[in-house]
Amino acid sequence: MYRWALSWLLRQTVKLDVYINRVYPADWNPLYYTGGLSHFFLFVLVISGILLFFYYVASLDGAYASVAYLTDQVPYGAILRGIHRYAADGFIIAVLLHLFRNWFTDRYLFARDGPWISGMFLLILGGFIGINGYQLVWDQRAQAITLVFVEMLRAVPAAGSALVRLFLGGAGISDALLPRILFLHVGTASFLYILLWWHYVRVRHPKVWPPATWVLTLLGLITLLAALPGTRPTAGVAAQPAATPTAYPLDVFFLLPFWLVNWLPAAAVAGGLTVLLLLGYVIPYIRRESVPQMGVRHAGVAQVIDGNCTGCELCYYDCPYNAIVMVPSLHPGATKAAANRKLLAVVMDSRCVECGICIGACPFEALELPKFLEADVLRRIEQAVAQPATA
Amino acid sequence: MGRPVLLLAIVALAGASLLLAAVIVLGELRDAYALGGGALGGILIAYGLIVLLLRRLGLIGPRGAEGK
Amino acid sequence: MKVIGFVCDWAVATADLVDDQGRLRAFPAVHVVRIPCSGFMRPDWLESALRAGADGAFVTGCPYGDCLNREGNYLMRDRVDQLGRRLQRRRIDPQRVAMFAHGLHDRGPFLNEVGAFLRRLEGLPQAAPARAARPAPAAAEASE
Repeated sequence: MYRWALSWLLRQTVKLDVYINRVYPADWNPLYYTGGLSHFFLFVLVISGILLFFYYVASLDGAYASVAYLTDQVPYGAILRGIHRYAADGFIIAVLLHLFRNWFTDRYLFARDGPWISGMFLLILGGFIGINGYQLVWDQRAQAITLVFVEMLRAVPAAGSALVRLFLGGAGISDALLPRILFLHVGTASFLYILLWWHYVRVRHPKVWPPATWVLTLLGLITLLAALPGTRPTAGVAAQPAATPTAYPLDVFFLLPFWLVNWLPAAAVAGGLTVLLLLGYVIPYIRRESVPQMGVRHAGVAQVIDGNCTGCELCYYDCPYNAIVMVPSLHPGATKAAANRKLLAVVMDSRCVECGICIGACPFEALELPKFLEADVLRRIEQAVAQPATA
Repeated sequence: MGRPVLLLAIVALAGASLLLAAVIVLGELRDAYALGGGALGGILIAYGLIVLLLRRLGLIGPRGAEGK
Repeated sequence: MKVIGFVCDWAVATADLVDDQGRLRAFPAVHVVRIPCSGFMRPDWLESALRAGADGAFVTGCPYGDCLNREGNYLMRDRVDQLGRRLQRRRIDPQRVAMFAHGLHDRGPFLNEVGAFLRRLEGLPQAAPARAARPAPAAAEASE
C-alpha cells in the first residue's frame, strides 16, 4: 500500500516538471533546486536577522518597545522585519518541498540516508527556531504560545519540570526568559550550519544557490510583500504580565501545533509531533520497491579492478557522492598499471549508491558494477545488432 | 515567442526598473519608506524576469543548444 | 538501419514503448538498453556499438538538473562531446552518437528526437564498416 502510493507520488511529482519546463528551461526549474532555495532563504534570514539583532532588547519591558521602534522609527525597519518574516515562511515552504520531492523521487535510499537523517534534524530545528522568533517579539501572541510551549515541556516524561525551570530561568516568567529565547533562536541557527555540513558532506557540488532568476525573483517577492499594506508585518498588543491571552492571529507556517491546542491537550500535540517525526526518521529504511524489482538500478556496489587502476583520479572527480577516495599505492603490483601508479582508487561501500558514473569515467576498465559488467554491455550490443530490424 | 517581442519586453522591464528606482528616491524624500521597499521588490522581480527572457533569447545559458 | 539507444532507468519510461524484443514500436530499427544512470556509459561502448555494425548510438538521461544521481547527465553530455572529437580523428562521423535528456513523462519529445536522429543518420554517407579488431591506420572498406 505504501509502495503503491509512493510510486504514484513519484509519477505525479515528475509530472509537475512537464508543466514547469514549458515555462522555464529545464535547468532553471525551481523544483530541481529545492535544497538551494532553502539555503537561499536561510542566508536571507541570517543577514536580516543580524540586522534585526542590532535593534533588539531582550527584556520583558524592552522587547516590544524595541521592535516597535524598529518598525516605526527606523527607515526601512518595517521592510527588514517583513523580509525576515517572509524569508522564514519561504524557508519552511522550500524545506517541505525539498523533503517531499526527495521522498517521492527515491533520493534517500541506501547510501543517501545521511542527508535524509540530517535533513530531519534540520527540519525540526528550523521549525523550533521559527517559534522562538515569534516569542521574541513579546506581544500577546508571544506570551500565549510561550505558555502553551511551557505546558508541552512539562509533559515530557521524567524531565518535564526540570526542563521548564531551565527554559524559564526560574519559577515563572521573568526577565531571564527572553535572553534564553534569544540564545535558543540565534545559537540554534548557528548550529544549523554544523548540521548542514553533515547534510552536504556526502554530496559533491551541492547546489546551494538556485539559479539567478530565482534568487532575484524571490528576494523581490519577499521585499514586496514586506512593503504592501495588506501583508506588512505588524505586532499585536504588547504582552501584559498578569494576563493570559487566548486569541491571537495564527501563522500557518510555524504555529500549527499551537492551533491544534484548541482541541487537544498540549501534551497530546507534543506527543503526536514526536511520533510523526520519528516516522520521518524511518523513511530511508522502507523502500517502495524490493531489491530484485529495482533491476539495473541495484547492480551492486562499484568494484575497483586493482590490476587496471592507474590512479588517474577521474572516477574520484566524477563520483557525485564522494564515495571514491584515492589512497597511496604502496606496493608495486603485478601489472604494468599497478607497477607505475602512485595512487589507487578505493570505493567506500557505505557511500556508493550503485549509479555507475565512475564506470563511465574510467578510461582503463578498472571499475565494474558486479551485476552489469562491461561484458554484459557488450553482449547486449551484439544481441541488438544481430537482431533483425523488423519483427 | 518571437525575438522582437522578447527584446521589447526586456526594454520595457528595464524602463520600469528605472521608474521604480525613481520611486525609491521619492519615498526617501517623503519619509515613505514602505514605498521605497515596494519599489525595491518590484525592481528585483523585474530583474528576475529580464534574466529569464535573456535565457530564452539564447544570450545567456549553457552552449545554447540544450536549454529549452 | 540499426541504432542502439541506452536509456537511463530514471529517464523517460520506455516500458510501454518497446516490444518484447526491446525494439521501439515506433522505430523498430532502435533497440533500447536500460542502464542505471546515463553517466554509466563508457564512451568506448558507444564506439563499440558503431564498430559492431550499428549505424548510430545514443544515450538518454534525465532532464538537466534532475539527474537522480545529480550530475550523471551533465558528465555524459561532456563525454559524448569528447567522444565526438575522438571519432572525428578516427574518420567516424560524430553525428552517429548523441546525448538526449528526457524525463519520466517526456515520451513525445523523446520519440521526436529519436526520429530526428534516425533521419539525420539516413542522410549520412555509407555506414561505418564493421572492423575486426583495433584498426591499423586506413582500414579498407569492408562490405556489410
